Amino acid sequence: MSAESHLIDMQGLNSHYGGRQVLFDIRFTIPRRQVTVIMGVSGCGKTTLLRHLIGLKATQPGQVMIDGEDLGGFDEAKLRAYRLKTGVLFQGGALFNSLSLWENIAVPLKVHTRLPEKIIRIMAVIKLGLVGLSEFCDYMPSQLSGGMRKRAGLARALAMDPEILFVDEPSSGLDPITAAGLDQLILDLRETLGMTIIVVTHELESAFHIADQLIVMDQGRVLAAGGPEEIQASGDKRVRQFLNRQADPRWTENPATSSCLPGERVEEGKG
Amino acid sequence: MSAAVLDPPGDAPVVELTGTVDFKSVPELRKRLLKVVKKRGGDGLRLDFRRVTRMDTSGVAMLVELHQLASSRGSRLALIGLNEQVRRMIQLARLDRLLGVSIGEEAGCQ
Ligand SMILES: Nc1ncnc2c1ncn2[C@@H]1O[C@H](COP(=O)(O)OP(=O)(O)O)[C@@H](O)[C@H]1O
Ligand SMILES: [Mg+2]
Repeated sequence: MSAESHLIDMQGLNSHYGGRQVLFDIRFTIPRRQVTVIMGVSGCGKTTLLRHLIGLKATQPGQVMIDGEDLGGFDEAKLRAYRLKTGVLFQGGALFNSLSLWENIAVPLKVHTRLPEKIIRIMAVIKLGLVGLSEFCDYMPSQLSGGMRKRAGLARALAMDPEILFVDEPSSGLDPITAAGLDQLILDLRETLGMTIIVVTHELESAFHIADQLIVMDQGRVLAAGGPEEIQASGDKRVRQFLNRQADPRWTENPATSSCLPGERVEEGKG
Repeated sequence: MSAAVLDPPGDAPVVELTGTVDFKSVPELRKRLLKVVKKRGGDGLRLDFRRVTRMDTSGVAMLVELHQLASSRGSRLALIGLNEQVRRMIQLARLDRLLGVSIGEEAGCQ
């Protein structure tokens, strides 16, 4: 049950933009058929990490194993086959504005399969139904709200029935009800189809609701990895800081707890 | 994927499917099944899934199309012996009612 139970094994990923290193020796494993949530403040490297896992940013050999094979050693054909098994919803989640919703979802199906148009249209309606948009299949993206466009983007990510789904900040900019619906769909996809799902988010409530495993990142490094209870109970100061900052939407801090305040640190009781 | 058409006289035709019903096999399979429904019109069609290992959304879409065609001819589609994965695909799409698939259906029962 070693390598086999893990779909992805990060064995020390380093990443650079130009001369600047942004990921440092990232190590964790992603189990199959579970939801892994990657958390951390803006700029800590979450999207860069996803870009490696999707094959959009080159990975050095020996740093990331996918299904027992070295991602850094994939040739073009291998990479293409891997991408066919993955679905991605990017942070921007852009749709083609000149295409209707169903035509947007049809794009990957037309590119990668020989399915007839009629079947593709039914598939698109099924996928739109998963995200609650089957009535909107002939709408243009410009006629929809941001939240609906995001959901349509997810439907498109699901077009090819991916085994692995990557989602970057799914609920940012969504109203709470839509965000909760998205969480439920992610759980349904895991439950019903056994999909392996990797979600990047900084919405704490959502993260703890959907995650089987949580990865907390900070400044390009993994701070902590574990189940929700484990992370919740973490004694690591920076993990606690992250959890507490996120739980409180106010910017105003209690100066008594600041490490910048000279003298004895005051421990604050929970209120 | 293979599909054997059994056509007992006086009874609904049965198609025994074997293997994976997915975006690779659906284009050919669909042509054959549409032909059977068109030829046998109102007699209905029984699709035997007992030897199907996996189905994807293109398979579900194909069943929807076959169902629509059969309904327009006053007949219906019967799905037999769906495994857990196939049933879940249909249920996730919320098409179990339309396609007459019930939860907990025993393999081999209708
Ligand atoms: N295309 C890029 N070129 C140069 N630097 C980048 C690029 N994309 C991201 N970065 C930098 O890499 C770091 C990690 O960014 P990113 O992975 O987008 O973080 P996150 O998704 O957690 O907000 C940041 O410092 C960011 O400025
Ligand atoms: Mg990001």
